[in-house]
Amino acid sequence: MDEEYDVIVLGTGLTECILSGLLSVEGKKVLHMDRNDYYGGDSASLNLTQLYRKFRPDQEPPTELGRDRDYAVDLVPKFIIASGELTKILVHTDVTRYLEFKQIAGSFVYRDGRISKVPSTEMEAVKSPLMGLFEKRRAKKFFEFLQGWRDDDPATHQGINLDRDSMKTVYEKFGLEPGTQDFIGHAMALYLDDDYITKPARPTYDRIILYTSSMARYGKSPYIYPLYGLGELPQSFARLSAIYGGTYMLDKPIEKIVTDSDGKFVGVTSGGETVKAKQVIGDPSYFTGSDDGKVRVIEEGKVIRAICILKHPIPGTDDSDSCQIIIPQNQVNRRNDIYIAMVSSTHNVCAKDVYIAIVSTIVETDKPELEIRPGLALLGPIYDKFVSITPLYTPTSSGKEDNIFITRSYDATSHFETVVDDVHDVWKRVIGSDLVLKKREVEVQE
Amino acid sequence: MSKQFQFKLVLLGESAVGKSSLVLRFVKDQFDDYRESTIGAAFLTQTVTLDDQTTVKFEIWDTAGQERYKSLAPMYYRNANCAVVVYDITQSASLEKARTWIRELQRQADPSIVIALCGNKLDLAARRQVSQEEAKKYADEEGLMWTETSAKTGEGVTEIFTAIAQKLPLTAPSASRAPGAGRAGPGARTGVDLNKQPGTQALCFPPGPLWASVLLSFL
Repeated sequence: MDEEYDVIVLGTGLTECILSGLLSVEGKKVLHMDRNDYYGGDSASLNLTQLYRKFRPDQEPPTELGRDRDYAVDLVPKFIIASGELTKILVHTDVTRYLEFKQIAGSFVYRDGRISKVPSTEMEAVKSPLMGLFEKRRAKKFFEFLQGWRDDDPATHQGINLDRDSMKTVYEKFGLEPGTQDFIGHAMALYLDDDYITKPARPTYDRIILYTSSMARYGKSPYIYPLYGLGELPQSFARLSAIYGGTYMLDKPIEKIVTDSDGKFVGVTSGGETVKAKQVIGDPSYFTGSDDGKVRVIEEGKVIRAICILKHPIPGTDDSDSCQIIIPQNQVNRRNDIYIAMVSSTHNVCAKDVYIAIVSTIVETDKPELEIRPGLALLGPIYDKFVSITPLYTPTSSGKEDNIFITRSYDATSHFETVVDDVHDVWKRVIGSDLVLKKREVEVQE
Repeated sequence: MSKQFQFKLVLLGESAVGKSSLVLRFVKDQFDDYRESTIGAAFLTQTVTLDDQTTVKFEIWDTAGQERYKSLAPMYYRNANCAVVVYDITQSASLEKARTWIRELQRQADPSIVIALCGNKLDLAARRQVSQEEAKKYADEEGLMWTETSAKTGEGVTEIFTAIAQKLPLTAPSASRAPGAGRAGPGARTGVDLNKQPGTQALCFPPGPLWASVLLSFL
């Protein structure tokens, strides 16, 4: 450990592993460490032994759940949006060669006490109870407007300025009912709350296009999911980093972040030894305690996540092997949506006839477990449940002054777009220029 | 009709026993005395011809150094059909390490995995610390294939990979389970292909964006 590195990366969550992989490809000498003996940090997928060790250290996993190795239970409920930014990074870095993906079978939305599928075929659309006949006509006009929009052709703008007019203005122009607005804003644009309505319409337009182009890509839902769980994602980027010379050390408790008298980063102490590097990147959990009185991360809120083991598919989903269910906040008198993400043995994350559903939301009260009840109520009998309440940390500084660059916690959104935003943000802070994804020539001899 | 089978092969063993050199000899018939650790190769492929009808293509995964500090990811073992566990015949400690890797394979890998124990650096037999008897006895006890090789001279290298190919179950082309480049033909893969350009049917909506098809069918 007497070598000096360009960058030390702490934590093997997805954000850190993407950065580590890209930095190694760029020729940086990277040392990547994790306090856990598994990959993935807060975005890991755990086998049964690891899951119980984390949530119930004094209990053995029940034998009736089957083989330990059949399980890869995600800690963070997220899917990959098919035409999104993470997909671009996966393709550009060629880590797709380590991964296999399957579609998520359906996306559902809760309305008036029941769940309905977000239609993905004409037949489903005809039967969909989500809108009445006249409302469907109004919505059609709205979608035709979005489809026809060209920035450089004012004739397509119908008097709307996407960058200036609020989404409220757009909804009103097309006379859309509140229920339809809930559907568009929450089930398609995937907003967690209603703050977007009074803001300019452009980001909502972008999100609806992302959703629909992702839906069009593979057909059933806008989401795809890696076989063997989300934990495969950080592992694949870690391998990318390693084949470009990155050094990996798991199971290394970090005792101290060493800084000089100016507060600039010097190195990291683990097992009594200090390794030096020019820069450090790490997930917030490595910076919550401060050795020098500096507050490096602040809490912006909390997310509650309940990992539920079921012995049956979720009722009302046509026995889908996987799904997302969105409960828009208005439907249950909340400020933030409740999400359910469910996967099963089809995705090689659990034994046959077992289903893993995660119910999550942003915490609004001092009784978060009561807040997720509307979600739990949709699941039917729950075999077992593991609840966590996780603070969402964000760094207090850019890191440019002290060479300490901190990533953000995994938020409550249902996909990885904000993770990629964070990757771009940290890259720019660390390197000083924008991350440009180049297609990499990969050496595969035949 | 000729058949090609594809298998994922993983290399294991202590650092500097010659894992990468062994593969380099097998795949490119090269050797480099001062070889640095492998950089930049996701995996290498090489094909072994068993007879006129049958070829076996190996997708060979190197550890990329992740074996050094207890950091090999579960992904590495995932769906491996065969493993070559390498030790250095001039370092008795490296056989101990090989035993550890074999236990790890038995724990993490598919129970049907074919494991070959391979004593490398046979060209340095004068400095031998691991006897053939000791290694063979251990291999027999654990039901492993065993041989000695020299990546430097090439002795035994092709033979061990051919022997593995012969031992793999060539029952159906579906045996080609390895992910990656060789996902043989349509139907071999049930998942989605991210490299595929988006929906062909959507393309009949020019010049509008692809998503129009979904929305219009919805409404």
